Amino acid sequence: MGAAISLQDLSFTYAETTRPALRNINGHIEEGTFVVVMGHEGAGKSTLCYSLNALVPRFFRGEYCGKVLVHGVEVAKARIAEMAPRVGLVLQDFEAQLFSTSVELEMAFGPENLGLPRDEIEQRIDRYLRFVGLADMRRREPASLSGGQKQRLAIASVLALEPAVLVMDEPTTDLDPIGREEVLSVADTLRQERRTLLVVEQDPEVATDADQVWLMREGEIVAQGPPRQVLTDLDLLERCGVQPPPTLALFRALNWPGQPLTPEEAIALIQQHGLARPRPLKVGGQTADGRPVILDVQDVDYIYPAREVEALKGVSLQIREGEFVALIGQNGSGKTTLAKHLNGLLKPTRGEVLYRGRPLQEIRRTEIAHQVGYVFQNPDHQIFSNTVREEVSFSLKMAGLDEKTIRERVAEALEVVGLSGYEEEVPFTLTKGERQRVAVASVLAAQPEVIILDEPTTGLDYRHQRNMMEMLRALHRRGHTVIIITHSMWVTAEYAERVIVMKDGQILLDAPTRDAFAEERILAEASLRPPTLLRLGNYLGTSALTQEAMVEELRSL
Amino acid sequence: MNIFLYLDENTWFHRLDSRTKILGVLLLFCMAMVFNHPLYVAGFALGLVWLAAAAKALPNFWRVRYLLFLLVAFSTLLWPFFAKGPTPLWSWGRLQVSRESLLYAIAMGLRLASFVGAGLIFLSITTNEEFTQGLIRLRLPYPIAFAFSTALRLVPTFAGAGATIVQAQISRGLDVESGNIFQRAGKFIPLAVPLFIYAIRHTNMLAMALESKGFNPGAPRTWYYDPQMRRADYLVLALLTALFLGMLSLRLQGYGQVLPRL
Amino acid sequence: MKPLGTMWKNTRMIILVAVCAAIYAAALIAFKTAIPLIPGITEVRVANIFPMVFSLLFGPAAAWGSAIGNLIGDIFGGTLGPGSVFGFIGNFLLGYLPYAMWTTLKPIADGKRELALQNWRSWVLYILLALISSAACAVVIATGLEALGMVPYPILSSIITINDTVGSLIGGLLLLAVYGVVRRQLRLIWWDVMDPEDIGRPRAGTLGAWLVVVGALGGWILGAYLLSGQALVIGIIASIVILVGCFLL
Repeated sequence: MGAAISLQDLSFTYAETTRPALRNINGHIEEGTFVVVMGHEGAGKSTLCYSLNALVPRFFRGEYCGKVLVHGVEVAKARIAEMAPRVGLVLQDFEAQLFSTSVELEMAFGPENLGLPRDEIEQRIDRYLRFVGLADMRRREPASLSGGQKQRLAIASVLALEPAVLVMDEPTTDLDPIGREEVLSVADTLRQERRTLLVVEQDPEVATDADQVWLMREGEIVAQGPPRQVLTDLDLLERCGVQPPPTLALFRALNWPGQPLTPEEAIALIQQHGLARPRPLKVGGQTADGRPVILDVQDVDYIYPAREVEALKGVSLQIREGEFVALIGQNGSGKTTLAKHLNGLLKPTRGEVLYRGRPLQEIRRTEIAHQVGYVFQNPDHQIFSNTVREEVSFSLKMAGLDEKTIRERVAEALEVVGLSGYEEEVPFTLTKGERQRVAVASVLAAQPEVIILDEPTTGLDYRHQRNMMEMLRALHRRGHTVIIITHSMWVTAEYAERVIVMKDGQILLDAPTRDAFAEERILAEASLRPPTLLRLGNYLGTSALTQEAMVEELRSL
Repeated sequence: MNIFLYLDENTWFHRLDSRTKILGVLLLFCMAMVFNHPLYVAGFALGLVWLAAAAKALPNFWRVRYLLFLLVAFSTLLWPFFAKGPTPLWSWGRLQVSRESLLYAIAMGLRLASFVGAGLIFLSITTNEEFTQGLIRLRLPYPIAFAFSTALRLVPTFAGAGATIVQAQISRGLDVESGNIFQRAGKFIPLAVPLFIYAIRHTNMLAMALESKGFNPGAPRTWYYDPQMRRADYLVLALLTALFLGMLSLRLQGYGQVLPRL
Repeated sequence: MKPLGTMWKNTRMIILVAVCAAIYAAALIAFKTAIPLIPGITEVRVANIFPMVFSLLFGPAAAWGSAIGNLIGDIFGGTLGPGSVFGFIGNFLLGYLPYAMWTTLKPIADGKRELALQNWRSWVLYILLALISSAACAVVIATGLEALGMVPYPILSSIITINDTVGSLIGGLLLLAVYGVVRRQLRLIWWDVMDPEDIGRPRAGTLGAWLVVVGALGGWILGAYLLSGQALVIGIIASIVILVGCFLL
């Protein structure tokens, strides 16, 4: 087997920036191998991807030194269109890579650009749509597909160019758990076909299957090698802002022998060495029963008027003062629809939602903002001001508060989210994580009792996810009731007190967090799985939710 | 709601070549402009309704029924004051209405409805892909056709983002429904700015993905869709052309005219 | 004039056309049913805050984008017809004239492309161009629809002029909010995106700009108020003057 990709001392600095995005990158990828690239936000992972198909330096200009060879072709000397049949690139944002008004035309687009004859195009459409499992969607409009389907279409449309190397830049980040599974299984099939595959991914479990893992930090590659070598250096992972494999971290903390990267490996090791004896799990976690009810959802149905789809069916639910609740479930299960009922954005088709005993419909819009705050998933859907101060004070101005109160509240909200001193910054220039915080601050400034967040950690790297969740925990401690909608199981396990699982517009399960994650069968009905650590915890019968607590619990046995 | 008007049926009209559909609807537009006598225009409009029924496009007519009604009503009310005719019917100060101008007004209402109707038939039987492909086959340069079809693809995405943005700002206390017209206009800024930035942020990503798939505006390329003009297509075009010329010659002989203008 | 053709070589500009068209169309559809002024012909077009902003940021891509966006608005609204041709040309002008006249309408313009938004002189020019481009758009559309027998010229030309001017003025707030981001963070301002040799120079910019001013304001005021009996003739002459002016820009 020959070299598919060879990087020789590659450095790149984007035009009009000073810090190099890539620094002295060296690397070698054999034909038919699977490489996973990991690292923090801004580590240079995307730039590395772009340097493989000539987007760097052709599309993004800048200072370029070194050499990249793909199957012997020097990338910097080729045009992007020439690289297209050699290196296929799939991006994180699936909305931004589909151009056509029908699935089959999307597939035909690349081959048409290559000037292939019609029957060849036909064959390729057929082959690769079947490959990603979208064969019966040929006539559909891409806009009508689910996220996972869109991303699979994006992959298939790139495969239709039959590139020798496939590069995917965080292909699963924006997807729900099912969509993620779908995309990962496509990646798996590609790997079995021995295609050369380079994937940027955050999840250590995916990296476990790789032939090589590259770890990046501040534009440099700091480790390169088989997963068992790279993923076991926990300090290094920490420094690169990458989540360490939870089972391995647990074993290290307990000084247990072996280096398990998955729960299955961990269980095998435990059995082999008799490290601990599984016992039945004690459930029956604490509930917030005694406290006053803030939000009371009474037998709510909701039908979207335009689509005539029943999005909620007989949902009843009580949220009590000071709870920390996670709403989980697939896209389309009704989580967001339910959450939008909690601040009156949607009016129930049947049933009622009460805020402290008052029907929400009777409360004025501007007033609700001061009781139930709602942070939307994408901060860019709400940021419109030229300074952070203006943005955060928006709801206060709408409520007609005086200048002095506004100033105080803004300062306070910014302090809570850790952005003090950012008042005069331009929000659009901040990083995604910071913009997310501005959005939270702008909702907090109104001092709502309840704060709802739609996927607060999506699109953030591990370090920023932690920061965001620690901030929410602090809010919770100050007395706010927090409700999050999330796809992240470990976030749910470590931070929420109560879990509500939604499926097909109904509540499938509503229980304290540990109890909920013990119900693997019910979770599977909603196509969900407990986080890595709790899969092991369910086997061992531990009631802990975090690694630290689990270590303690296992030690005290 | 599906914002596209295409109706997925399999009528004889649906199966026509996209070039025939485009040229055909242009001929229909021309025919709608030949007469300005209400009876003649009404005859043509009825013909269109028959055509719509045959192409199973009537559901779309139903969908825009208020629009159609308003068009006729509005035009009928408006034109008498602008088109002048010889036989006075009624006058009030400087405003006067003549018999001819009233008839003309009714004809114009029907003509407007015919425009909309012909357009609707076209949109009901033509997919976005066919439309774009037809334009390309009629020698529209590819980059323009590409921009057109990509815009069609992006509209639902942006409309969805727009709806989310409205909700996000409402839940922060934005009240779009109160205030005078100027205050309301100012309130569009918290909606327009995020939509604009969201969409424009897409640009670089789209351009990257596009080039990564080997797009090159000037370079030769092949087409997956390969529409064929068949006998039925030529027949339809010949028939429509003959009909148009026939109507034109009638008008030139003075039939179907209430006022000597278009 | 030249960049209107050469921009089609540039992928980013092509995408900008599609993105502008899609925003404009999405906004047109979203607010279509809100307040119709003349049903099926024109409504209170909130979406009209966009074209002038597009124009000053994305130059030639805005001209094509506004034109295509309006066409798509017709397609989704079910009002595709012969009038769409004039809607296409009119909205093309709405996206074309502001950026093309920004540097050429001397002595009011100072010839620099960069928008000095803290400068009151820029805003005088902005307001003037809002009115002129709207009137030019109105003259062309009203002439076409009068000729087709759709709507009388005097009514339509005034409605479009006033509506689009108001839209463009509100658009000024949008421009103020997004200019810095587009210029510096996203780096999508049109003269940065295009190669300088593709931009070229206007044939006779100042003459063209003033011809457009005369055609647009003359056509609107004469046709709508002073000589409305001869509206069609005036409209046709004014449209020709505007188009000739455009060629010189």
